[in-house]
Amino acid sequence: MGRMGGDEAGYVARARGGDAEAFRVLVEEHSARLFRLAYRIAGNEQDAEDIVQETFIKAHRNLARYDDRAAFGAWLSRIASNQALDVIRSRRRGPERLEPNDPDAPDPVDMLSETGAGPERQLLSVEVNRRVKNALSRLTPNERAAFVLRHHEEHSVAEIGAMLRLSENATKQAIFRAVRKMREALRPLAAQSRPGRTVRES
Amino acid sequence: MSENTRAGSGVTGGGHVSEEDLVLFLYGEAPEARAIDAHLDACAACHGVCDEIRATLAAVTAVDADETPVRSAAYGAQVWARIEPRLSRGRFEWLRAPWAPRFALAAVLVLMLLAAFLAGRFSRTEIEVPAGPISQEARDRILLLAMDGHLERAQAMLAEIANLNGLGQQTQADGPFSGVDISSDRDRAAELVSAGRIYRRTASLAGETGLELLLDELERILTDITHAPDEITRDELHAIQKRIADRGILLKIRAMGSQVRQREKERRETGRTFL
Repeated sequence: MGRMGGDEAGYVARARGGDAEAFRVLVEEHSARLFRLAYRIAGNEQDAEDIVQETFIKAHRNLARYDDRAAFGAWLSRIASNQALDVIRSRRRGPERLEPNDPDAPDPVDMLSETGAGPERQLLSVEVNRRVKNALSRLTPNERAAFVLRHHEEHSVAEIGAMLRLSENATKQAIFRAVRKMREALRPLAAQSRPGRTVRES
Repeated sequence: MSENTRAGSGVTGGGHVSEEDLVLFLYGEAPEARAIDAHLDACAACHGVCDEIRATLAAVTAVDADETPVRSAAYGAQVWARIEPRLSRGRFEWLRAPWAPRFALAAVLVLMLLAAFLAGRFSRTEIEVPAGPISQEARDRILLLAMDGHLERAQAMLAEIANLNGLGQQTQADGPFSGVDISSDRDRAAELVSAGRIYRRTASLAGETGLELLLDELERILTDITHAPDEITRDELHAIQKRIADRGILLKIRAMGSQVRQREKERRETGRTFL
């Protein structure tokens, strides 16, 4: 909030009064964050760019309806999330499938456990990356949006439900399903890097 | 806390914490966090599941850090530059544009043509149109008038892009090519695509096959431009220019525009009115 000196509410009020300069400051303040959010949900840069622009245009159009009891940034996130959901729903393409593993290829986890060396670690990293991306691509739009808002944006379940117009239970289920799908995709890899936690002997 | 969790403990009836509660626990939203924490210290099975979920979430965070593009501090200003023209354009601001009167006339005429087409189609059965159906000749003339302006605007825009390279654009010999900003052309292309679709349908209804094919070809090129980023590289610019040149689209537009104007002129000279 550097440029606004902690007075975001003041800038919002001025923008609502038709002050374009105030709205410009708000745009400059929130663009990069909204881009990350849009990219994480939409999954590509071009869509994310479009989503950011449409978010601000919608926000500008609906400034009079903004309830200033909520944070302005959260209101923008709400618009951006729904915009991103519209984009991924409109693609109407089936989820990408996880490529079948080559049965003859060495399991990267086994390689790591055998050597623990540099190249193998890189291979593991590539494999983790591939599996995470595939798992994300298999999420439904609601699962993806809810998970991104919970995991990356750190919104609470209640906030996410309000943003996506889902019940609290539906929001939780969307997040759980997302985590489960990723856990299943990563299970063989994640098991190798469990952090140590002492379990009391019973 | 999930329904199968023992009330007040965070632990299921089977003696373990549910996967759902572990997810909430890791996100700091479990209502019985202390009970779950205590259980994890004592239960190796739940501890293992919790660690697996934690590792999964950590992997997602790591991949995100690698994959999500970072926008510079200047990005906000770029976004503003792109949206500002659209914000300042009030609901009726577009009427001030120099092409607005012709565009508005064309739009009205197209609507009249469509209404007339529908009137002609249904008047023998149910719909009564007070002004009566218009003649085929009048429909043609309306289409010709509307098309003239559309083709002119499309030609001007494509000619501008086709000539981008020769008029003071930086070349590789001058130094690193920094790209060409075609964001305004992209917006104009989007407007032309929207309008062109109406004209193409109208041309189809009027049996103007040549015009319909040209509009279809034009729409494909314009659509490509609407999908371009704000700033394109030299190669991307050349690809667009090559497509314009290969298809001879500018020549076709000029020829069709000239033909349209000639036909419109001939019809005007006959002194017939529209309706």
